[in-house]
Amino acid sequence: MAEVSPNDGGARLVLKGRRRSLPLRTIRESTLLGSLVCCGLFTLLVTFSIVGILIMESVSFFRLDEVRLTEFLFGTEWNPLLGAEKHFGIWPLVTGTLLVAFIAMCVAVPLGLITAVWLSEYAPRSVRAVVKPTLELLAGVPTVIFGYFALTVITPTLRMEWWTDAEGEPRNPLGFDNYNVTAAGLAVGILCLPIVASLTEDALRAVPRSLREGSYGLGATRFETSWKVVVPGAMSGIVAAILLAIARAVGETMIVALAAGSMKQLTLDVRGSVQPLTGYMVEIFFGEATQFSAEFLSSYAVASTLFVMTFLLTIAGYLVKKRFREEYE
Amino acid sequence: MTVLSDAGVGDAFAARFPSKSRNARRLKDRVFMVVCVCAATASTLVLVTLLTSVVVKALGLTYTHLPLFKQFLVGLGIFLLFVGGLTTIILGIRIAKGARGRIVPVWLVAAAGLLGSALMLYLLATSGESRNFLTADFITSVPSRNPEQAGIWPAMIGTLCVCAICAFFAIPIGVGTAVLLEEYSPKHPLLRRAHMFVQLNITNLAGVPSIVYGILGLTAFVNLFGLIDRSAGTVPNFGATWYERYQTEGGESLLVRVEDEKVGPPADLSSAAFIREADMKPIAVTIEPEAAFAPRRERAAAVIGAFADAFEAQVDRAESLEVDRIPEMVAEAYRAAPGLMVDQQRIVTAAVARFARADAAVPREVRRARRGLVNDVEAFELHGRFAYVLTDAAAGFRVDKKSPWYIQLPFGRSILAGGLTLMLVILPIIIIASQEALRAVPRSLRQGSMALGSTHWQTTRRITLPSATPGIMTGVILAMSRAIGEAAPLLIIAGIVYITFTPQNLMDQFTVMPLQIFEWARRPQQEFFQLAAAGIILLMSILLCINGLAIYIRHRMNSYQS
Repeated sequence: MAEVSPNDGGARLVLKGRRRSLPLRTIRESTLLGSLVCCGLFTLLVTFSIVGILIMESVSFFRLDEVRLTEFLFGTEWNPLLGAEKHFGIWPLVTGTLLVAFIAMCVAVPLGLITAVWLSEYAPRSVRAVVKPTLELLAGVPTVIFGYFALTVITPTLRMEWWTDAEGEPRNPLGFDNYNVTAAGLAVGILCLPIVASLTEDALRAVPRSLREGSYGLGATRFETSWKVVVPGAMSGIVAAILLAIARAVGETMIVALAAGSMKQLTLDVRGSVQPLTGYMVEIFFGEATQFSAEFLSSYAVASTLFVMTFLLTIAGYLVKKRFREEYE
Repeated sequence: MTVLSDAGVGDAFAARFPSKSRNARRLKDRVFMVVCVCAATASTLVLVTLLTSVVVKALGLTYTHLPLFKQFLVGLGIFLLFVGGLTTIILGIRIAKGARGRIVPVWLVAAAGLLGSALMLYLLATSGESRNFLTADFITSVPSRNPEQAGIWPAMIGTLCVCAICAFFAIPIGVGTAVLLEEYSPKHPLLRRAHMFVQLNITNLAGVPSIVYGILGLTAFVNLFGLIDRSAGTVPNFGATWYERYQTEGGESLLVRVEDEKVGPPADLSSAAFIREADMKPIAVTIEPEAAFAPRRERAAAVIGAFADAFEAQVDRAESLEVDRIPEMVAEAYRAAPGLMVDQQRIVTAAVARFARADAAVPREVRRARRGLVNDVEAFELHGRFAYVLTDAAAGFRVDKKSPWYIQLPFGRSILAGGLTLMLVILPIIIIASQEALRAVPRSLRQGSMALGSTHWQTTRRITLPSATPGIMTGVILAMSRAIGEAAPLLIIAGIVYITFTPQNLMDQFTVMPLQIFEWARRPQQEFFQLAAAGIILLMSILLCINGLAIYIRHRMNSYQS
């Protein structure tokens, strides 16, 4: 690591750099700046390519004879693979995505919030020093592992497979299918839990100490301080964390591809299989759908829907967080 | 949201807390503590269950059929292992931080780990006929239809190659963008707006689902935006050498170098330089006049014809043709006519016709075998021994030796396309982490450097970047661990392919560990579930090492700065 000490730093810096004529230096500087700008432009190019590809392929999808835009936006039937008449109504897939995200948030938000408050307000320093890295470790676990977990542990538990009847068949008192939305949602929730907890904890710790001290000074208990002063103070950060977690849950692929099954039905019954947007995309790209066929192109339209959903969530999170940053500075 | 200014705190409190008994408030506080502990316990239990289920599956313990006390032992053993591992990490961190005084006694950790491993070993030894899939063979062998022989080696090497390519491209671009955003803030209002836009764009990119990046990669890298017309036959390529292959009676393969893919074999073989394919070394060959061997040539043709007849008859006789048997039958055909290339075309045609009659799909092996047709016989002398050479003029017997940097356009479903796509996925992560690291460098360092007359770039290169290196490295390592575990975009790029070889060049097909695990987990058989579990344990151990490294670097950095 280079350090500049006050005594000899200047001399060292001058001696270290080879002397160059001024124009050469300027050329070098502007070339390097140019390459950095290229890096920056590359990230813009990525976004524009994504948007461009999604729009172009979606347009060619909607140009097909069997597809109508109104049906896509408002239709409640999606059966591109089976049956004589193909229907492309996006709502069954969107319902699947929303169901998974909702179940995931039912797990991740309460548990994540409690964990974060506990870490930031209650836990001793040594415990936090352990739990925070562990949470980040958990956030890096490959999602395919959670999918496996959903398939081999959560689903059998939901189906109560240890409770069998005389023939050895599981009684399955709650009526869960082999592939069901709940198992996928719970696994996604476990995946999102460290994200919510870690980001929320950051937000809570950004609340100035003076607020806490003021609260304690007025005789509030720790519970009152944390839930009535610190949490409201960090509310925008918490909301941003939750929005990001929802975006992650919406875009989650491997878990739903493994555990949510492939029924494209418009239902709120969480015991059965409802395919989310990402699950459908895996099914199309995984199978050997011919290129330029309606079902292949439909996956681009599905990807566009997914992109719009996550884009709105990310931007909302960004705006909320920006407001929160300005609050205490 | 309530604004809590310093003056307003008291008023806000008066409004917020109506008078309640002290005990009730205290009770609430306590209850919340209990809730916290319950939540923590629940999370730990979920984790332990996750680990237990994976380990139990991988070791082939039929968990639910074990007696109750053994189930308890399995749980206990895994929990102890978990605690031991976690405590080791913490201990490592604290030692790295230079902690003095009371640290967790080392012997306690060692005892927990040892006890856990002993319990697992005991259970492994006593769990009866079930098979342990987590063995050395599992790591070093290739995927197979037979779960007993399946392994994860190609997937491991695939992961390594893809991540290397990904890091090679992502680190310079990511760090460059971060430097641009943090160090070069423009003054012109229009440029400033552009700067803001790039920043917002990166926030957005970080939230894009990885499967969408897969679609981008499919269009941009696999198909190169459809710019290159593949219907023309060959595609532009660099780095491959083409050979014509000849087969001797002894079953040896000889190669003659040709100019490129489309040019035919040398007209005069007597002047050609032969290479033995097995060791790629030149070999002395004398070409004899073909006419001298006419009788032998006829005999060869007769053998080939007789075999093909027999095969056709066999296929026709069969009540139901087993799809799986076809490749085997072709292999038998090779063995039945020693030293001679069998007329594959006839066999395959017979098989395809049979499949068509049975309304069955033609298996991939048969389709692949369809390519070659032996249509010419030549003879030459090899090491003083006469040998038949069966030449094949069809494209299937043109072989290419590709250098590791062989490139063709478009990239196709190759390692390069996979690595580039993964680069897009982790780019925002690297940028954001590097930005945070650069932001943490004190302003005074930069100002000092600038005051001494160094230019903007010199300051960045010699002062800011070196100070931020530990932070950037942590970010890069965490991003790489994300790349290792990422499956969705590669599922679109690579598809699920049955890969039994390690990649040899940039254009080879590939698979990665998460994809292989996904493929195994999709199958209904229990054995493949166990294989998936063994793969998960391997993947998790690799990730744990990498993450441990990142945590270690960060803590070293923290202690260094403070």
